[in-house]
Formats: sequence, C-alpha cells, structure tokens
Amino acid sequence: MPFRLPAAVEPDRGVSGVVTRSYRLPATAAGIRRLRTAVARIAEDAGLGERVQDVQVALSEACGNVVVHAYPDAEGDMEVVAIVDDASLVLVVTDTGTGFVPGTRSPRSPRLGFGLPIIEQLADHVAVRTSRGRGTALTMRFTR
Amino acid sequence: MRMRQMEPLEVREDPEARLRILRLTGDVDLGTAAGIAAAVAAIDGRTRLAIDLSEVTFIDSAGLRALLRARYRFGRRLWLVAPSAPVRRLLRLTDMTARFAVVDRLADVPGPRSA
Repeated sequence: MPFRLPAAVEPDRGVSGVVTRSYRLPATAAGIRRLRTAVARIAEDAGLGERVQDVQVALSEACGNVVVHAYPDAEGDMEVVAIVDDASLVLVVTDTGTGFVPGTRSPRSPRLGFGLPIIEQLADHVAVRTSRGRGTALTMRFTR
Repeated sequence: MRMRQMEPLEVREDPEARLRILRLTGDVDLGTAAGIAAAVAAIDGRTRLAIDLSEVTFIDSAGLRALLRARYRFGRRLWLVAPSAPVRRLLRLTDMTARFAVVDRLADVPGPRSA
C-alpha cells in the first residue's frame, strides 16, 4: 500500500545539477521500510537500474544498525540525506545515539555483524564517522 | 483507523512427505524477522522443514539471521526452496549459500527415508 512520507523535505536544487532530499523518521523497522521505498525511487530516477535493489539493501543495513544499536535506552530518530549529482548517488544515514568503537560489537545486542560488510560490498565507497555518545554518520556512494 | 499488517508467512504440512512448509512472502527484514523466528521456533525441531522463498521481494541481514536460526534448529532437515533473486544475491554476498540445502522446487526436497 502506498504511503506518504511526511518527513520528506522538498528537493533542494540550490547547487546547479545537484538534488538533495532529506528524511527524518523515528528509528523503527517501519521507518526503515518507508525510507527504503523513498530511496528506491531516488535511485531509479538517478538511473541506477539494476542496482536499485542493492541500494535498498545497503540502506536497510545502515538503518537496521541504527534501529538495533543506536538508542539502547531511549527512542531516537534516524536521518537519511540523499544527494544525486552527475556522478553518483550519495546516502548519508545519521543518528544521534550511542556511537560505537569501530571494530567492536555491541554487548547489548550482539548481531552476527553482517551489516557493514554487506554495505561495503554493495556501495562503491563507504565511510563511517562515529563518536561515543554523539552518534554515527554512515556515508555510502553509488556511482551512476 | 488501524491498518492491518499483511501476513508475511504461512505454515502448512505435507503429511505424506513428513514435511512442514514455511512460505515467506514480501519483505523479510527487521519488521518481519521476529515473527518468522517465532514461527520457526514453534515448529517441532525434530520434523523436516522447507522454507519457500520464491515470493520474497526483499531480504536483508535481519531476514538472513532468521534463516540461519532455522538452520541451527533443523540442521540437515532444512531446505530452502526456490529462493528469489534478492535472496540468492544476499546469500552470495554473505558467503552463506553453502550453509543451506537449496532446491529449485518443493518436489525436489528428498523423501523422509533418504534424508
């Protein structure tokens, strides 16, 4: 069933040739689905064709990490910024949660650690910035 | 008005083949993985289980973990049936294909005696 994305911001065409959209939603499984649908549309419009599904999987993994790990004792939001320019689609997934020490696993919810390795295989470039107590920003780039 | 969640899974039994069949449809992700894990946990672990994945339109690692839990519970008495393209791709990406017995059709699941 189609649904609207209340958090969607109108496309920003401030810089010539660059389109930016941002979404901010509560970090929930339902939120991941909505973001997946929105980002699939953006990836299709960007001409990513066969890679649209890969973009959706990568986004789902990034947001899944936010939902499972970022806010262990509270509720919080996840934000996705999508930037399309001549060369690529860039997705930045941000939370303001606990952050983590790279290379370690959360003792609270030990997962099998599939998320980031999957993203690294699907995206052309991945960068993670994280700070204990201040949150995490994961950036992934898909070449058009 | 509350929207009713579409049922993403269905369990049935083939008594002749002594097989339980769990059919998953739609998105197998963080939103549905817990329900799938609960359905798998509710099936007698001594029986044989086939998971029909032909109608799965999306899967991520949360869904994959539900499949791996089924693998641990049923061991060699588990078959994945007709995994859709998204499932096959994720199994390849995570190097998990060899962990599962995969068949193209339900009829290809070996009989109970040969298992």
